[in-house]
Parts: sequence; C-alpha cells; structure tokens
Amino acid sequence: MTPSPRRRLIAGFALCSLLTTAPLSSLAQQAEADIPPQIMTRLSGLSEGQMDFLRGFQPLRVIATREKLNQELDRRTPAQIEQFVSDMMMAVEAMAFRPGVDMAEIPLNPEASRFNSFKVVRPQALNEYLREPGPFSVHRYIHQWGGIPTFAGALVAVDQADLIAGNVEVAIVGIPQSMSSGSRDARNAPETIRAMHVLGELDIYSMVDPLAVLNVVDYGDISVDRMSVHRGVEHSYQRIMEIAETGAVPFVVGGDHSLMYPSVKAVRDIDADKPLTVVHFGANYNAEPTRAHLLSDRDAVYRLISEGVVDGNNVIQVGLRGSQATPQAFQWLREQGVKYHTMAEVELRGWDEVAERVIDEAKSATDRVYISLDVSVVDPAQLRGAGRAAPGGLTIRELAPLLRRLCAETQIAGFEIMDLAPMLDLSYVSAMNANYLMNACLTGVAMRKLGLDDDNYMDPMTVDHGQD
Amino acid sequence: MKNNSRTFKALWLAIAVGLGAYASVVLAQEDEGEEADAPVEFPASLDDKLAGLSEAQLAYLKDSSKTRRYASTTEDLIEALEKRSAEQVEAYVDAMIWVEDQTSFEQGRDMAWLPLNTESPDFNAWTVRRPRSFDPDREPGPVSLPRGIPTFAGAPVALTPEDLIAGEVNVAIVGAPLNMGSGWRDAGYGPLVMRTSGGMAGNDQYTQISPSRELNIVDYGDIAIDNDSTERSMQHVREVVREIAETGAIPFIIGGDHSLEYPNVAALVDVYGKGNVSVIHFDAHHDVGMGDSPHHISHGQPIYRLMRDRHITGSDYIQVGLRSGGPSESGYRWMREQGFKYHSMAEVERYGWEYVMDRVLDEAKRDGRKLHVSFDVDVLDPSYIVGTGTPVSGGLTPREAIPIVRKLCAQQELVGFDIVEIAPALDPTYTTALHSAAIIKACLVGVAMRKLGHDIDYLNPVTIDHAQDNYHEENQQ
Repeated sequence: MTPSPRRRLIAGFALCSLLTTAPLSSLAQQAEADIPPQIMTRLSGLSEGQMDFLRGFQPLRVIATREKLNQELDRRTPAQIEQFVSDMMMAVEAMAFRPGVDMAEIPLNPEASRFNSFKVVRPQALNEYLREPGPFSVHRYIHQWGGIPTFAGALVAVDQADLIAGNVEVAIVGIPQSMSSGSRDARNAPETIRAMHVLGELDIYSMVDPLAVLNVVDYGDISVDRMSVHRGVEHSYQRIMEIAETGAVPFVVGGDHSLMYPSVKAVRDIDADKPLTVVHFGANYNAEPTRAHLLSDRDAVYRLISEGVVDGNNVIQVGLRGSQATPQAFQWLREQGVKYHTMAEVELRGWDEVAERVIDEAKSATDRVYISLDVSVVDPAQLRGAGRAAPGGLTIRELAPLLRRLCAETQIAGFEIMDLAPMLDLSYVSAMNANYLMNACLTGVAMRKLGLDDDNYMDPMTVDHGQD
Repeated sequence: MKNNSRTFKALWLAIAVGLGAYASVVLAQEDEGEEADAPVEFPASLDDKLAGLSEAQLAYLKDSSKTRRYASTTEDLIEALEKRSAEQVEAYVDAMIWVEDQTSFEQGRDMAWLPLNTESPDFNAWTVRRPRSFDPDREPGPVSLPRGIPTFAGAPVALTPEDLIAGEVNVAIVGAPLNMGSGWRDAGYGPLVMRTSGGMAGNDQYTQISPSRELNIVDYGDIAIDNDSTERSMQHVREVVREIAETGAIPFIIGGDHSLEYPNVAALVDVYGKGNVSVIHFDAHHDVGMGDSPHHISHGQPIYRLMRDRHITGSDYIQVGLRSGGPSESGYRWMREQGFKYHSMAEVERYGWEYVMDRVLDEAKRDGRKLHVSFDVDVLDPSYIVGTGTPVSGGLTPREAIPIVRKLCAQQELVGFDIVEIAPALDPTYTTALHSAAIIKACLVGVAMRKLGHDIDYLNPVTIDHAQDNYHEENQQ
C-alpha cells in the first residue's frame, strides 16, 4: 500500500525499454562475414550500402545461417542477387517501428466507468456482517471431506489483518492470468489446484505433515485484467507484497510465467538490502529480450536481471530444453552470471549430480531463496497440462525430492508454480502432480521449522522396515 | 524519432478523445429505467443515523443507480443501514464513494495507454512478409500442394493478391489464429484444426453441388497475429482481408476469436464503401459491448467498435441466436434504438425456428445489400460445439443452422464470411471441427447455388425422394 514501491515499479517499466539492443549486438559479434570469391564476382552490381548489409549480421535475421545465405546467392544471377539483397534489406527495415504508421502505444478507454474495477479491493465497511480479523474455516466439520475447495484445504484469509492475526507462515494465493504468449488456460489453474487433493497432506519421506506444523491459509485470488498483463502487474505486486510484509511466505499459483516478474520483485523489495536467490525450474529460459511488448511470460527472467531486481549471479535455472534459447541467449546468461542447468547437462552427468550441484549453488548464494516452478519442467507424460510443454523433461521422482530439499535446506522467501493449463489435460494427473510438487516444498518449509534441515533428511522409520 | 512518436501519440490521443466524445454523445446507452429512478426515501427511523452525513454523502446514498451494486433493492439498503451505527453508516457510504473513485480512471494514477517498446528492432517482425525473390521464380496463381499437406478444403494455396487474380479465385479461405481477444481458451488453434479435419467443400447431398468443383477456392494461409495484443492484430487483419476483397474474391476468415469481426467488416467497408455492406451475426452473445470497457477491442465488443469508428450502424445488423446473460433489458432497448434487428432464442422459443428463419431471410432479402456473415460457433448448442470459449446452453442445432446459412449465402451477394471461436483443446473429439466445417460448407454451397442460378429453397429433386411412388404428390393434395 505504500507509494514508493509502486514508483520503483513504474521506473522499472521505463527503464526496460532502454535495454533491448543487447542480443542484436551479440549476434553482430558472431557474424563477421567472408563472402566466397565465386560469389564476389557476381556482386559487382551491388551498391556499397548493399555490400555492407551483406557482410554484416542483418541478413541473418531473415536467413538462418551464413552458409545458407551463400547457397541462396550462389544459385542466383547478378540481377536476381540485386533483387534478393534489396528485398532482404526491405524486410529487415520493415521489422522495426515505423513512426507515424505504427501505434507506439495501445490506447485504452479512460471513459469506461469500470476502468479499474478488476483491482478494486472490497472495503471492510461494505461487508454485511462484521467479523474479527483472523483466518477462518469454510468447513462445517472438524475433519471435513470434500466441501468448499481451498488450497490445501486450508483456512481462508481475506486481508492483511487476517494474516497478522493468524500468525500466518504460508499464504497460498492464486493469480488466474493466461494472457502471455502461450495463452493456454493457465487462468484456470488456481481453481483446478484448489479442487484437487494432495497439497497439504502428510509427506512420508520426512513424516512431516505441513499443515500440522505451519499456519497455512488460502489467500484467495489476485484479480487481473484478462486483456492486459501490463495493467495487472502492479496490482499483483502490491498484493504479494502485502503478504510478504507480514512475514508470511507467499506461495503463488499462476497464471502464466509473466507473473514471475511482479512476484519476485515484491519478495525482493520487502528486504531490498538482502539479495535474493531465484531458482527457476522450467523448460523455457524466459529471458528473451524485450520485443514490441514490455511484459510477457517469455521475458520475465530477462526483465528481473536487466532491471537489477535480482543479480544474474543469484539466478539458477534448471531443466532448460525449449528451443527459444539460442547460442546468443546462453552467451547472455553466462555474461550475467546465471547458473543454468539444461537437460543436456542432465543427459551427460546424470540427475543426481546435477541436483547436488543445484543444492550447493542455492545454499552458497544468499540466505533468501525464491523458487519459481514452471510446470513445463516436468515431462509432458506426467504433466500434460502445461502451457508451453516440451518433451524430455524431469520426472516427478526426480523433481519432488529436490524441491523438498531446497525448501528444507535453504530459507524460502517465496514460491510460485506457473503455467499449469488444466484444459490441456482431461485427466486429473497434471493437477495432482502440480499439487504434489507444491506439497514437496511446503513440506520442506515445515521441516526447516522443525529443525530437520540436514542434508537430504529422510525419516528413518519410513526408509527401512527394520525387521533385519 | 522521439518527436515523431510523440506527435503520433498526440494524434492517437486526439482520435481516442474524439471517438470517446462521439461515442458518449451519439452512442451513449440510454438507461432510461435506471436514470428515471427517483431518489430513495428513507424511513424516519433512520433520521438519527443519517443526520451526520454531508449533503454529498446523503445524495449518494439516495441514488439507487449507485447503491444497487452493494444492496440490490431499497429494502436491502434500508436493512443494511438499520443494523449499522451512525458511525458505521458514514463509513459505509464513504466506502461506496471510495470504490467508485478507485474504479474510474484518474489521470496521473492510471495508464491511459499500454506502452509498447518502439526501440525494438523486431517491433513489426511478425507482419513482415517473405519477399518473392527468396523463393524460386514461379508464375502467379494458386499452387497445388502434394497430397497430405493439410489446407482448408484441400484447396490449392495462394499467397498474394496476384495469385488470387491469376487464379480467378472466388473464395479465399484464410486463417486468423487470434487467441487473445477472449483473453483465454485456445481459439488460436482454430485454423490448424480446420485445415486438418476436412469436410468443408466436397459434394453436398442436399443439393448435389460440390463447392470445390463449382468455385475457385484457395487456402490463403494464416494472417499474422500479435497474440500479446488484440489491438495491434486488428490493423494487420484488416489489411489482409482488404487485399483479398479487392481482388473480388470472397474472404472466408477462420478464427480466432470474435474480435476479428471488427477488422473483417471494416476491411469490407474499405473496399465496398460505407453503407453498402450489411452483416448477419450468428452468436449466443450480442457482442455489441456498449463501450464501457477499459479496452477498445475484445471478443465482446467488435460491433460497438465498428459503430464507434463509423464503419457501420446498428441498422446494418441482423443478429441471430442471442441467449447469453447480456445484454440487459436496457441494452436490448438501446439496440432497438440503434436499429438492430435481433433474434434471440426467446423469439425462437415463442415462434418456432422455421418462422424466425423465414423472418431473417426476408429481412436480409429486403435489405439487399452486399452481405457479410459472421458466425460464432457458440450460436450452436454446446452438445454440437463442445470446443468453444464461451458456450451457452440452449443453442441451435446443425439441422437448424445449416439451412439458414445455405439459404442466406444463396440469396444474398456474399462478400465476406467468418467463423470464429473454435477452440479445439476444449473438445478432445472431432465433433466441433466437423460441425464447424459443415457450416462453412453450407455457405460455400449457397455461393455455388447462386452462381448456378438456383433459388434459395433448391434441394436436389433426386435426393429428396426415392420416386418409387407418388407419395408426396398425393399427400400434398
């Protein structure tokens, strides 16, 4: 509710438009061209400008490689080459913004009487029945089976006063947005997650019952503008900050991965002096540089690093295998100090070794850790309902133990699960596995509270029957 | 460049403000019912609690058009006040005023624009077309693809207006995989599933006409879409639909969500001129939007946007199949005033489908202008179209919809057709695609019937009777 974080956020938006040329310049470094002599002889008709264009990196924005470009040139007559090069130049030029032709901004309708209605929080005074602050049950029975679905079957909290009064340690909150590039039903994830069991159940690996150990609540959903990521991002930021301010750990149920930006930023800004380590699980690296749009799921990591919300050195990525990450992209990640772990690394080293490495990196970084879990990190066989699914992912039995360990062995400041798209899986499996992964982290947080934060703690009772 | 973009911004602002003013003056929804409400009279028992309120607070509380958001009737409001102390009553009315203030736009606090990144070298990359010189030279004209490569109606492919002209193309089917106008639910995959499912232009038993034999049909590919912005997509869709229509071919647009009705109709008006095009809108929803949304375009408001931008007026519209929760009675009243000819499912319940269908056909015939058909698949009952983003129970059956579409496309001079809101991921079976294809085919058959000179009730005489006796003749005497 304080104005200063909001100003910071808006300043952040302004800043990000200045940061867009980095990937092109790294492409430029890659491509210094030698044109084979047999082609050179046919280029005499080209102007100096056309020759510069051909030697530079711009042709590679429309033709995949230098080799293919040479093939294209090789099979053309000098006249055809002139046409070809001038067409390439036109195409590249047409990609940029055209002042006076293109909209520089998308107009909204300030006349609308409901302009902000999606984010106006209901004032207390309008409530018909007054109640004391504190989390409350929506169940009739002491041991309710079924009933009104809440995250983990937990008590409900409506506002910050409820969190404070209930000494809440974990507040699970939904953000039903599915507007970014995938646009594939992530908006229905919160309601599906609520309607599925497994979250909040006893974990037999540790024999810890997270709901018995922790004060957990369902904090409802954060409202969004379904037609604009941009208009909702500040509101999400404020609502998550409202949770984190009380000392509760926000568990965010997305929503598409654009929401990582306001979520991580809010958790960082609560304690801006202390750096935050982000462990990002996902098939996609989500650090594509800003294109025409300033906010989407594809660029949340790029934005967080380039705006300095998190230091690249404090970003760990696990499970990458999506085709968006080019050699230039990995180069950029390296330059930022990002510790990425692709499925290629897993293939080469084996999962156990990579998982240990991730744990070590997370432990040695800083003392506050944020986990961003995009469900696409899991193989589609076990998590079909992912907005941007990619074959060849992790199994639940690989990922759940790592999540439990990270949440037990480091200080978790925030957790999010993103991009679950329920309608893409007509079975219950995606929802169940998503809940199971969340429960692994919730269990870890409870284990840490109980002091069970040794390396890879498991309960001696369950790992062996002890009959011999 | 900065200056230019600022000038441009000012231009857009001027347009937006101008249109806004126009909209609020000319198109303002007359909410007679609500505005005519007299101030609420409170019982004397509340006098003490209301005494401390300022004039403004009291006026707000007496305005039921404002308080009904919180207490839907006067009785509810009085009850809510009675159980509060004087102090709580003041907090109550202050909270209402606060909500209204927070909900409306405020300069300085709220963005009136969604910023874009004009510095991006890829700002327009999504619309840039592949130059002809990139591929081996070929004569203009539709290109037949090898068997197995899925195209709309199995038709040859055309990529440019020159291809359409050289091929004397009558119908260019084009995909527009826009997903975002609805904010969600997979309409982006409509074109893909309609290419792979077939059934669009083969022989039609009812008429024994095969559209793909009688008409030159092509697959015109997909129109580039910015799925992070409906608004930006509108401009490019309009350009491509216009370039098809300019060749004389009929664009058949496969959506994508219903925001597309805006660029489709606008493009046809660009080509044929204002006042020369009318529209029949099949839909469970009215899609008029009335303009009270922060966004200027979404799948709920293409018609309002067309009216606001003066491409078309309400009297250019016939709507069929309306049955969703909106509009309210005052919305319907407003549509009447604007000249809409709407036909709700309530009318169908009262008068029967045949009767309503004849009325629609008659209205279209008397209108007589060039026609665009905008067909939202949710006009059909969800049992036939499971895969759609905003289904509503109680819709038309294919046996009702196919004849009206066939007859309309045979009766009128069709200049455009769109079918929208096909959302394959919501239907694991082939049913949605099958019925969508049947609707497209019904219209193609109609276009072919008109070309062949058949009247709109034409059905093939051999198909409709086995002729082993004189049953129908005898029976009908």
